Amino acid sequence: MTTININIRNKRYPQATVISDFRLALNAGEFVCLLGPSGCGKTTLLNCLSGLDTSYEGEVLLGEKHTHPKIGYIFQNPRLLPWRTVRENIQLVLDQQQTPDSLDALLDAMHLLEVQHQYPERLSLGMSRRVAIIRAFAINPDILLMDEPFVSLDAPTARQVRELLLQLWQQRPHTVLFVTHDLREAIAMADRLVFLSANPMQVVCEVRIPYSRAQRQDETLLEDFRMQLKSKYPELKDLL
Amino acid sequence: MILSSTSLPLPATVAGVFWQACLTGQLPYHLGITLLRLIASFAIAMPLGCAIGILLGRNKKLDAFFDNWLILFLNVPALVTIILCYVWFGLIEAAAIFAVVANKLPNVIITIREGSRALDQDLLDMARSYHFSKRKTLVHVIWPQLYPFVMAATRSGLALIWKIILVVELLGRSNGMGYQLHLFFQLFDVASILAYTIAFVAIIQLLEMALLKPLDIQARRWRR
Repeated sequence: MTTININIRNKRYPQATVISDFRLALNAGEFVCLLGPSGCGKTTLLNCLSGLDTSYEGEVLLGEKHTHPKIGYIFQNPRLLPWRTVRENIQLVLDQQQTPDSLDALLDAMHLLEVQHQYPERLSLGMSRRVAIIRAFAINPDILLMDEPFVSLDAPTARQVRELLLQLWQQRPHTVLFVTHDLREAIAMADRLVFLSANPMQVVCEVRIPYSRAQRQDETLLEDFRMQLKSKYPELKDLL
Repeated sequence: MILSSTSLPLPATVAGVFWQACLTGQLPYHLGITLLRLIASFAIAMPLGCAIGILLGRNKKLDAFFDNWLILFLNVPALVTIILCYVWFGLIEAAAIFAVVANKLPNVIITIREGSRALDQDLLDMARSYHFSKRKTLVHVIWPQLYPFVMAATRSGLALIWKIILVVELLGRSNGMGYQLHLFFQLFDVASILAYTIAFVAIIQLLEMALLKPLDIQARRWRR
């Protein structure tokens, strides 16, 4: 399993500094949620981690030096190739022709087996998001980056996808960095919450979630924890 | 009177001339020659234009450097390029083909350049983060986005090449449609001119229906 060590001293766009003096370390197999106001630079951070953006000062260390962990990146929008079918979209991220038997199982678990030969434009947004999630899991990632993958899903669908995601993660643990601005969602899923400030983005505080995932089935428990956080960190009221 | 004059022959007369020209083999021969030239110049101009177009569309520095040159070549009259080619290289087949390619190339480049400027950066980033190979990115991410532009370049290109190729033949070849039309012009043989034009239009229609339309349908199957 793979650790993540982020130390970004400075990342700026032409108009403004987005991230400065940002330090964060993730243990191997840890599930960390990043919470922050929209536009604070969370997506930029994920792009730096995934290697899409290399124009920053500082280091991002994924795993040991000179190893290349596999990164599954679930973007804010599904980013499926509209001219390839659902199945082709997933197969394209795999090496050559190797299709794991688990692909059918994944498609089945996400209720996509019936639409696997359809083109993405004929899918609902919820379905497209699930395809994007399978695509990230299909490569058996060491690290999973998720950028608000449940935004604009209706509540029941979001809940369903969330549970499937947790199941998959528990079957094959990997290090997860999950960006959201939904605190309930974060409490339900993460090992640790990291609250961020904007302009420039910095870590405000970190909170460990003291419940096991089984305990979290209890909605009232989560709601109580949310209230506790609210009273304990009044400075985070915008986020909570 | 005017309806049956030599300068405006009756459709039946034109049909008769067309049939005669087919039987003697004159029309198929000259049409075939022109078609071969069309295929040759198209086969050179399209891939070359696509490659340069993608390069310019993806590379700002190159684009800035070649932009003015491109506009220049785009606007040089076809007749000038043709005459220069014949003067410099002689009245040979290669000069004829080169003249056509030189006229067609800037059009392809401009169209494909627009296409590759409009590529979806989100999808390119996706391809990069999932470590798509260059080939995979080209085939599965870039090409499908460029396809409509390539089709546009193909259609406008075919029309342009037809027009230019006849002038090229008229000026410096001793066969092909252009040469024949020139001959008929000197003889004031309007019926033959019309007969050849019909053959011409028929070929274009055939290309459109047998090749371009099916390709279009195939490429659009994923659209809603």
